[in-house]
Amino acid sequence: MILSFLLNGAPIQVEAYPHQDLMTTLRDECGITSIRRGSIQQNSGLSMILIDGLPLPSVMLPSFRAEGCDILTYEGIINSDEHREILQSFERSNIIINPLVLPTLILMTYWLITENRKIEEHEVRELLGEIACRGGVTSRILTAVQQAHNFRRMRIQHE
Amino acid sequence: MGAPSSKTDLTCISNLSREEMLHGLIIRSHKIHARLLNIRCPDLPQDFYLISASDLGVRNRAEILGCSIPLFVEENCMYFGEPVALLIGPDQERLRAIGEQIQITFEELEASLDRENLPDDCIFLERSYTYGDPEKDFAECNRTIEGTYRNGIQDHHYLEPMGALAEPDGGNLKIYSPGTHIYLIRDIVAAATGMSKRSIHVFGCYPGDDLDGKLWYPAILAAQAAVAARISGKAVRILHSHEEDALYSPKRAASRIRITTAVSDENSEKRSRRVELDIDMGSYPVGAEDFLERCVYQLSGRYRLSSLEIKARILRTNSPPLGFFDGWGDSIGSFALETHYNRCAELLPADPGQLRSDTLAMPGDRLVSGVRIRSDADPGHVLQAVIRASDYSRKHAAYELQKKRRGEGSIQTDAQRGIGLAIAFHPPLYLGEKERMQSSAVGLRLDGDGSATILCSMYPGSAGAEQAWKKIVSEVLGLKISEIRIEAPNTVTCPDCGPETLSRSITICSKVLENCAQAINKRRFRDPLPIEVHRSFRLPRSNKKDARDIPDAYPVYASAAAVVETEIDPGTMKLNFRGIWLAIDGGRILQQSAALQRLEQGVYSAMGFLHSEVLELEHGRLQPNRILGYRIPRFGDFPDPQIQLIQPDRNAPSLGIGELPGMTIPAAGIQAISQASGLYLDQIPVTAENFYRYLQEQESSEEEDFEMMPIIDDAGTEGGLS
Repeated sequence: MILSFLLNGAPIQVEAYPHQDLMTTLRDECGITSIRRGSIQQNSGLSMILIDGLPLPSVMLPSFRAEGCDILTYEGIINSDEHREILQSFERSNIIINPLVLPTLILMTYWLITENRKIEEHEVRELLGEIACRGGVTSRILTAVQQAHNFRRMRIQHE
Repeated sequence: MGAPSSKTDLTCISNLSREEMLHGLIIRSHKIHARLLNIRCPDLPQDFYLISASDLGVRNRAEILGCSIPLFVEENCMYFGEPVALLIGPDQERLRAIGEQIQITFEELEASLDRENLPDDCIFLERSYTYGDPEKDFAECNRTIEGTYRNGIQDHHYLEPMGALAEPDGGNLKIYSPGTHIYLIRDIVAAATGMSKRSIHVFGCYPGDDLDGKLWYPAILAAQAAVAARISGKAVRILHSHEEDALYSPKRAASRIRITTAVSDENSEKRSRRVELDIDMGSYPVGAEDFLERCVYQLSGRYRLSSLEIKARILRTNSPPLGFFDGWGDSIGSFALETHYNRCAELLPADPGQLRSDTLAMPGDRLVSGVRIRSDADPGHVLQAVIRASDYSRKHAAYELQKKRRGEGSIQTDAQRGIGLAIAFHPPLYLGEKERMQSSAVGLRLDGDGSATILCSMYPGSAGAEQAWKKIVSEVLGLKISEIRIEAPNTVTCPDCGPETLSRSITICSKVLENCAQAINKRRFRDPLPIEVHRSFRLPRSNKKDARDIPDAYPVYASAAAVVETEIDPGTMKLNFRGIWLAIDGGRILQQSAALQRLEQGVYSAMGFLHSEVLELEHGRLQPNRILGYRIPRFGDFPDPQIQLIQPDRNAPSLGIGELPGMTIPAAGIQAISQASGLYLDQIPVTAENFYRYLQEQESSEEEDFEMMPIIDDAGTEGGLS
């Protein structure tokens, strides 16, 4: 089947097997390497993408779910101001983490801070709890997310 | 510190692809132990090949750390899932379809699986060590305390699975592998293909967490892919699925360690110990000698003993290969010893912290291994630091009282709490002379644009180690962190620095890198750029041998003490960890945030080993449905560990600290759970099934009013029986 959707802001058409999950299609057909299965379990949290603004594990979705959607992956935010602000806040909070996990963590932080609302601690914890990773101190990540949020707010105010 | 790098351009084996690349599908044994009779394969389409042992002849073996491993089953398969053949072809869907049509005929043989009751021919290696006169000391002591400690297997659970890509390149062969010792891969591929080592170029791919699971196994996959590439003349990639990784790649070795300690009420210095140790390393015990040596080293401990006897065996069973996990034999030896110490404290009775303080060997003392403890290696300060930080002594006493009252039925609490303590000492590098035999070279190049490139045949091991390497070069050469890059490991431009294990990326590479940077500094304003220097690690002359001619790997040992506090909801029996404390003396800490990151990773891994990562072999095979329930920790599963980095001497060498959480947290955790539950627990992981079994045992022993206590009172005054 041929799927048409927006990938990181650009319209795209790809051929996909109906039985294939969206993560495999994005990796194999679109070159999106920031997502991965990561574990024998269905969802390790490392296949998270934003579909129409909502974080969803692409490994759990059939490829046809992408039809007509606006999909944002880590590759799509690398050049954004938010990405720079997130990296800056991670650096200040001494977050050094497995580089295979980092894109997911940054994308989830991006989603939280661009929602333009108060970030609840339980919400961050819930999101982080989706990600399988040996290591990573939650309190420092919480601080970093709040800091990135503040950086962004200050920038927007100045603008 | 530089900004955390967010890499999507990492060289991962799963991201690599080549035009006209063939995919490899491993055809595996469906028997545990059997004689291979026949492989029947349907007619293969063009560009599809089936490669088995008969295509390789005498080259079908890889010699790795004292163990000979066939690339494909020759005569007998030794474990369920052992590679029998490799099917290669351009289309993965068709590969799978053809793979299902391949029929392998075996004649079944008796399998050796029960590690508690194995025939003698399953003993791969046997060693015994004696210090003093245990026979005499046991006769003179009036009390013995005995325990048998077991640990299960643990999966590395890599986010990036095992794999290899082999690509013909003129007369050469390029190999891409996530193995952590690329020069070993080069040698094994050269032996398997009959090519010269010079014509094999290995490029390291990102291996993932440095848990030692990719020390040797990727070399087998690389050799298989290389043979296939030679036969087909095309690039061949073998990529494990996560299922294959979980079912067939090496895991942490399982062990059973029986420790008996004899103590004398009259003479506190009279303390003897007997240890019987069995380690199951599965069908191919790679590195058995070193693994056993390190485990024995831990079991001999840093405590004062009048005598010691250790009988140690490596067992060869028909299980998949088992062995390294975040260290070699250290963590399982340390777990058994520290759990036994907590048991001793409970039965003597004594405060576990005080008992350790009283019996720890102090600077100037000679250990039973013969090595003298140097003045700069006092272990007491980490013990006191963690006891203070966690308020261990007060909490332990309070929870002990709570446990006693619960047992008497005088109080009912909402939550049952417990706290546990353990300490460990980690000799970095290989023990004794072995480090001297290991190549440990690193290079550094100052380029024409003023930037520097680190040349090392291993990935830094962790994101923290990467930061530490860059920081060293930055400080010596006065460059910005952003001006320093690390060349992707390869055998073409990077010298051989040995395997990435036992914290060598810090203990060896950082030191050698510093030497390289200093050498460049001397030449940078004299010689034209680029300047490239290579340096090798040398053991300090003073540490080669002590006065009794006993080799010593390093002047000091990294030491750690851990406390874990837990509570159990009596209604749901749910475990809730309330706190994790660690105090670490790792010598000179190159970069605090990097060290903390590595320790936090170690804590998560150890907590998984303690209770959530449950994997059991059933009749020599892992059941896929059980694998699905395997759960590595996730963010927020545990409270943030409170870690203290103690640096008594800033000029001391940097020691390996990454393995220390795995050596302390499980023993501390099991004591905490034991105290909270009132059950005597002696094996990890602590599963719901184990918990239920212990409960049943306790109830039945209470019903019979006849206690099976692991304490023997020779005088018969306390009524304990064994």
